[in-house]
Amino acid sequence: MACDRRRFLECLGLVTAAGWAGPTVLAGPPNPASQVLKQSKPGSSERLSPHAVVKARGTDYAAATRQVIDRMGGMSQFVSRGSKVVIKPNVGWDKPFHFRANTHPEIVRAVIEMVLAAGPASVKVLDFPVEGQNAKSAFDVSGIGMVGMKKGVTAQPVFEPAGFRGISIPGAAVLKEALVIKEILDADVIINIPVAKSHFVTDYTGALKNWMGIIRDRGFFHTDPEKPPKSKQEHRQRVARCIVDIQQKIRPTLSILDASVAMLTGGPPGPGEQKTLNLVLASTDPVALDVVGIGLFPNLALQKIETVQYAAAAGLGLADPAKIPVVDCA
Amino acid sequence: MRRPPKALRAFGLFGVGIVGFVLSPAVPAETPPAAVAASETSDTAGAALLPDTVGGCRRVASPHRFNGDQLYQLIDGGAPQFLEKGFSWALSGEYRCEPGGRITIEIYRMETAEGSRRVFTERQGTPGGESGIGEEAAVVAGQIEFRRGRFVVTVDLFDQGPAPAAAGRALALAIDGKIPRS
Repeated sequence: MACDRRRFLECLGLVTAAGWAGPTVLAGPPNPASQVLKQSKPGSSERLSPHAVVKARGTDYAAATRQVIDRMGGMSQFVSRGSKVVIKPNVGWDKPFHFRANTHPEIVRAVIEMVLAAGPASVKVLDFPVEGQNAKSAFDVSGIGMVGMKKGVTAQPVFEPAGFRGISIPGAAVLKEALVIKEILDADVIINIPVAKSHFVTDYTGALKNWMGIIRDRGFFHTDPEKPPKSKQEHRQRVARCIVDIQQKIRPTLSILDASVAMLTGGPPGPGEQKTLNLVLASTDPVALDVVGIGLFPNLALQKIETVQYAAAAGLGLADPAKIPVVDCA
Repeated sequence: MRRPPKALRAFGLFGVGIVGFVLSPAVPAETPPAAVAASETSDTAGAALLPDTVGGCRRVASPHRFNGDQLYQLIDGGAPQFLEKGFSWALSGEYRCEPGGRITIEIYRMETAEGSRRVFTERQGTPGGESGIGEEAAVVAGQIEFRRGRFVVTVDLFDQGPAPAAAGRALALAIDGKIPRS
């Protein structure tokens, strides 16, 4: 389980090409695949592709989380001293913990601790739970409210209308305007921490789909009262288009996937059929992270998942598994 | 399945049980605006499916009703599973049980019994077994789901063990008993 320096160097030897994207961004253009930045991990001149997916396994999810971030050069690669940081786990559901509908709190705890060590100005752990759920209870039962009880950290749901601000999305296919959590818009660094689940509409929910949680008017993702989808396929496509639209405007700096337990069926609320994987994965490319995440689900076909296909077509990341470097700590 | 660490489990029992119990009167104030609007349109017949008390369980908030496209507000991406099979309305409710902890209920009323059967079968993967609840039911750790007539009912248990299981079964039986027989 330990990811020591020797293993670190061995793993880096597996990494192909290019360099490290470093902190990405709000509202910026997608990183071109050719972008190469030097990884500045102390003691290493090795380079990682900005599309690399780093993974670690073990039942200590906090340790696995630290492993993947260390492998990416450490949290200071993403969080500058004095920056405003928002951590966006999936806390969408006021459901029993063992349904695994929300991100595991130990992963969030590890991220909070690493972010705090980087010296940010503020750290906020936020989500807009599914509207009909008890938002405050979702933070309690998930355990994320508790792990956010640290000095300098705010962990709470956002559900009041005043917590959102309107934006326009020029060039959007469907979602031309949206109400977005204000702190997300004002953040310097956004860390996306989805949980790997099946989803009745999009088949899979991970890094891309978790971004839907920053939007208030999510009903519009599903339907337009004036022009409702005529088929299940149209519905799927509409949701996927909206997800890609918002990703084009606001992108996570870093995405960390909770694949400790995959919800193979019954998603998004669960419980469904679960498969224990004991994995944590991370990437600056949410598309590549979803591709690798989908690969963990034997019942899913990557080619049929529109969120990934549309996002790749929009230049938001890599969808070809053969081109995605996977760095394994094991 | 990995459980949360000991401290977290302790918090789950204490924090969710005690703090949640203390805070429960404030639930309506925390309710999202859409759900408040939904509750204002609740019909008496629907709300009557959720009794005030069952054994050691008491309902801690008014049921919230969700019609048509409002179902997305309750279960987001799970909504089409119901909508595409002829959905009428849904109710959600919450109970505190002594013993048994927190239990939440969701009742889905479909337009036809065939609709509820299709939803149940799709969600469970196979026809439900015999449990003495509803026409068919699936009982797994942490959830009881059953179907009767046009209704599909889920009972989510936030604590685990014999006491929550017994409380959940008692609630499921009580709700089942209130569903009109066709």
